[in-house]
Amino acid sequence: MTDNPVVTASNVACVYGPVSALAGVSASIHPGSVTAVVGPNGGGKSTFLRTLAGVATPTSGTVAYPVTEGTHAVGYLPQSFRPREDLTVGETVRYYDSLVGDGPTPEELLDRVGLTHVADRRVGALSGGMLRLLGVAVAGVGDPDLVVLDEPTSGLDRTMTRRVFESCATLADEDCGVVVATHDLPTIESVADRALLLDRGRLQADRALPIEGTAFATAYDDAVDGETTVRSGRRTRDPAHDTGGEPV
Amino acid sequence: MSAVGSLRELALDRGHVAAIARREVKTVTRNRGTLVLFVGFSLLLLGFTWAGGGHASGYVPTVVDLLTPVELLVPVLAFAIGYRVFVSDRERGELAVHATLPPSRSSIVLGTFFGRGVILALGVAVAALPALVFVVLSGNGTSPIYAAQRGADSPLLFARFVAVATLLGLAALAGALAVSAVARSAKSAVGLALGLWAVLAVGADVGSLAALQRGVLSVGSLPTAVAFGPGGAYRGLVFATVLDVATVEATAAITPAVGVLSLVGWTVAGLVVAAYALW
Repeated sequence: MTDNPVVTASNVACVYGPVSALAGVSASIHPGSVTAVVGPNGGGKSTFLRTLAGVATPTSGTVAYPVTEGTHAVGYLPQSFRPREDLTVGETVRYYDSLVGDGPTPEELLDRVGLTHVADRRVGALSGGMLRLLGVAVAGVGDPDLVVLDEPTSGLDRTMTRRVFESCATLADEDCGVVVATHDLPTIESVADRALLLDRGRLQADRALPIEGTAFATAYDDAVDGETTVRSGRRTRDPAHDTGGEPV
Repeated sequence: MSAVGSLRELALDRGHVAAIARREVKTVTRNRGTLVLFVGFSLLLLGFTWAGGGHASGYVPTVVDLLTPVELLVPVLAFAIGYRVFVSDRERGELAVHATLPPSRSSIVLGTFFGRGVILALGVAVAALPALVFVVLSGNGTSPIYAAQRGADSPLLFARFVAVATLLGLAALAGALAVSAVARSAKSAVGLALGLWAVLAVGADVGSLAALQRGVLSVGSLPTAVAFGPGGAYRGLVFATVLDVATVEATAAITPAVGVLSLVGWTVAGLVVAAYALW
């Protein structure tokens, strides 16, 4: 791992009307590393990842990519990525690869995520897990310096979750900086180097993995447990949890 | 966005445009709904040709029969092909992925337009063939010369009509792409598409007539004013390039250049709006 980050977010804030989705978040992502972004729903994970990927523009603060002009800086897998169903898996990866040009071949991209055997299958006929793996393959086109994956294991079983996280580790082995939003901290701990805990738009904790001590786990549990409360059969955010709270 | 960033968003790359166009062609041709649309359109054309009765007299009378139905149906066809493209890509996360890749918004919009435009043009041409064959069979192979000797009836005139209809369709397709880029859901895209279609179909005509009534326009300038709308431009072009042959004197209300400029203008406007609103 080198010391030069592939992306540096400095004091990033995103405000949508009265809602502050992110407030003063700073973090650097280094090549060859996997960074897990964890926290409750609505905590700001997706917004943070979108700003890192350059898909969302921060209201204030900066996101800087120290790359040379012309290189492909970022690969991005959104939370709900469903490519066109009538194309095959191979056609989909070849299409995205043709827009970038450099980097691994479409065959290598599919091999990396273990989808070579379904290259001729229609995207519409893929399982949810395979769809997410296809998204990871697409995020790797052009050999980007930074790959940002927004909940790539959402709704997947343990086996498929491990496969997706192993793909993240493969990307990092190729000197890519990988950022993964997930709710599955225990599983990603085996491949991630670091975890960022985001809650209420703030960076509550930034720890190297595996985590020693209980501070991060306690903060994580507090954040996730306080996320929802059941009222009249509807899941709503606990207002008591929306105030206060200092970084761990 | 920085000045460099803004320029990047405008830059066109032929390779990107071609790759995007190829994907659109694959997507549209593999959708059974597209086939159903064009078969339905073809059957309607055939029905209007039969019901109009002009088929027994030749190609030009048939064009007269089809003039209004095509003005309504071709934009509907174009909207059906284009109104959901970017809305769906946005919902599926594909636009967000594209935003991190090298192609500019202009390349994405132009590639999409070319890909879907090719399918629309081919579809309209093929769908018109049964009507053409029906005219050939009904006319017993005759090729009447009109009294004024301004020209002979010919399948070429029918082909010109189809070409003008395709120009109208491409302008409507660009409008549909603009709607698709602006709308944030499939439902709002339907609403916007219907609203735009109503404006394009009747808005320019009604506006021109209102201007005439208030004395803003003279009777002489009315045809040119009407041609500012895509429907008026289409009608003007059909009169100037197809129906003119069957008249005693030159009667075309507008020159072909005015009609073509209007339709190309609407096409460019639609594409610019789409590129601006894409993300």
